[in-house]
Amino acid sequence: MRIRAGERVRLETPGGGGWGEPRDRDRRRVARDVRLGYVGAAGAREMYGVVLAADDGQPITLRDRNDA
Amino acid sequence: MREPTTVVGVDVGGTFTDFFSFDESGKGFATAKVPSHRGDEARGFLEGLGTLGEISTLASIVHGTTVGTNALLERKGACIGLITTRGFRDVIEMRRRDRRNTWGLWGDFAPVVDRDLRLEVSERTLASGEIRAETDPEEVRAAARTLLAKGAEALAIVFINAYANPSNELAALAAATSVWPNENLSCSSQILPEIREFERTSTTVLNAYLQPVVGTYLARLSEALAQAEFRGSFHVVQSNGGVMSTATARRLPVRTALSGPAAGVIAAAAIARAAGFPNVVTADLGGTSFDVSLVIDGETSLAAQTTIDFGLVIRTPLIEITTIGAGGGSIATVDAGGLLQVGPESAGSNPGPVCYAQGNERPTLTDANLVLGRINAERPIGSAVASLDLDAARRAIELDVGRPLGLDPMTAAEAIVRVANARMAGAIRLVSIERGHDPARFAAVPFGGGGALHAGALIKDVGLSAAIVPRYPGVTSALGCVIADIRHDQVQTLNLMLDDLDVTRLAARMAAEAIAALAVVEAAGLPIERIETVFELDMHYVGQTHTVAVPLPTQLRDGAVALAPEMVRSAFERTYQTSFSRLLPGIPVKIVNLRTAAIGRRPRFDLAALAPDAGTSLREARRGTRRVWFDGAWQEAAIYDRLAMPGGTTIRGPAVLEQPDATTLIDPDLVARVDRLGNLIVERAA
Repeated sequence: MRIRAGERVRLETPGGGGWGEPRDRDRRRVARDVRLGYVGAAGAREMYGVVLAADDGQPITLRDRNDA
Repeated sequence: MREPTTVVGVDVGGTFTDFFSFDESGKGFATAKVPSHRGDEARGFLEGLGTLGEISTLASIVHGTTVGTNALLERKGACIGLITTRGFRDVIEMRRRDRRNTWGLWGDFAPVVDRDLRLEVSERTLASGEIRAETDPEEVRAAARTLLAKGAEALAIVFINAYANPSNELAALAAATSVWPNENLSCSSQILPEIREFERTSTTVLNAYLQPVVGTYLARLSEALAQAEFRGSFHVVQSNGGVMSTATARRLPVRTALSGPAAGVIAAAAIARAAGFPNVVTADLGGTSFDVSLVIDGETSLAAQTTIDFGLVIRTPLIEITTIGAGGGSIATVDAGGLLQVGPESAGSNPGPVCYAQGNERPTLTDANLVLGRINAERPIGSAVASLDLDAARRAIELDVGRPLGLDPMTAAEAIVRVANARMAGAIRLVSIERGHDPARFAAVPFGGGGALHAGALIKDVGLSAAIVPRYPGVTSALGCVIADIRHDQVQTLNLMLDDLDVTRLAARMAAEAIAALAVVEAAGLPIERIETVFELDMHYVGQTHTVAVPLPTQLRDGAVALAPEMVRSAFERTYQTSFSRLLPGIPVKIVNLRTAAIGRRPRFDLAALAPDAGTSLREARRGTRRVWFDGAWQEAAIYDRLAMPGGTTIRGPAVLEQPDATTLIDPDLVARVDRLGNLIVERAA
């Protein structure tokens, strides 16, 4: 592949294999992953079912499926 | 009032705090050993100093400390922040793609600075040193404020390629300093201006991690000393075996990581050299760990970097010490698989071994030595307890080791000692046989509170020629503090091709580095006889990753360095030939780094000061006999007051030599002679 100045090649890879149901992950750990930037806020909501408070980043909502 | 001339070496270990005090005018000395108080080290420090005389009359104190090591091992450093080049905040997390466990998917690593405390700013320094994008001071200030708000107590600034040109880093440092409330901030070009992102980042970050801890610790000690009206100078031993001022230690705390152990190696090497044994393995058995190091031709071995724990890499010259978790306080257990294990878990000094009767009920190596009659229950080392509880030790061994293994208590105690000996022998093999050195050419220098109890077993197990037991084995590291030279190391990446080398410029660069290092040594404020400068170039053939350390036969003289073009090439070829038995003609050679050390030689410490008094006799030193267990049976062993034994005398094992700071065991098939300096030379019986 020949790349000229100003061009870029972008590779997007998945974040590695996982194990288990994302929605079973401890929500505090999900909050920590978001704080450290490993998972985005949207990812936390869609994949882990965790919504974080905007002010202190603590998990605030119950999960729609596992929790009542 | 006469000028104070007494220097005291203080080694604070995990179990004991050891003291060696030497009066440079009167040539008198004294030793002391008191229990360490974890978290309140000043207490043991002042307690011990108090036993040596008036603290106000001391000229200087030189301190070997493990406070930095412990903070790293236990992850108890400060909350810190990192400001780095955009795109590089994960350098410290990715490391060198090494893994805690080679096999399997397990093993986590958390850097000492959390990812949200690693902020990226715009700047770009190229490998050539060219600045592609400058630092934006306002962006750096904003990042520093954010980190402060998140609780950071110290700040590290590491920009990509800053070793090639520090200007962006220094600009960022200046900007951050304007908003940072304390002195705990530094940039990589001040700590390690050396190529390789991970090592430079890790070392700078760990320095910041330790700065508040070591700074607070030294400040607390200084304050306690000031209250005791100490008016002298206060110094710290570095991992390279040299001494630095406390001011330098606060700036470069990462250099204290192996402080105490390094002091021990310095002393052991000096003692062995004076006793006529230039090639030795130093073996320090304390309460918690066993540290070994190799001394060849009287010189300690320096390593360029060390890994304190997985992923915690410190790159700074340090004495190469291999540590295993085996010591007097190491706990003996039978594991789930039915195997006897000794260590790494240690009972330390508090609660200490079972025989201390301070609440620990799990048997330790010291308990085993006591049950076997090797330690005198009525005269324990250090001043932790007045006597040892032999019955409690035997019960603990019977319960935890004897019953699960179906052994009687004596056999179980012997098994504990044998397992510990095997672990120690393994550590010695690692630094000798496994590095291509014939152990028969080496003697052991056992020291620390327990080293001399195991010396005989070690020389027999590993095949070493002899053991040299220093006159005061239990305070060897403290003695090392007193005799260690002052030293300051610097490194600078150069990346110069040898073929078109501008020798005049290199010589000027070397002189500038040496003058800076010299200034640090001169500012330390301990009496020195002269200062030497040592230059080394890290060099390789272009295309190689690893370098060879090439010593240059030149020194700083009158502010200048004499350097001939051929000197560099011939020094490289000599070193390369020695390491690899060949050269690679036709491939261009590159100088990667310049390493500069300034060494302030202390007045030579004449070990004859420690020699036994003339006029003592072996008969007066004799303390009767005691039953000691060897190879499955009790034997009647002669007991001696070690310090009363005159020079030139020889005794045959089995014997036990007692002194306040350590116990020496002479196995039945060994002989020991006292040399003119009061060392004990232990060898196989002819």
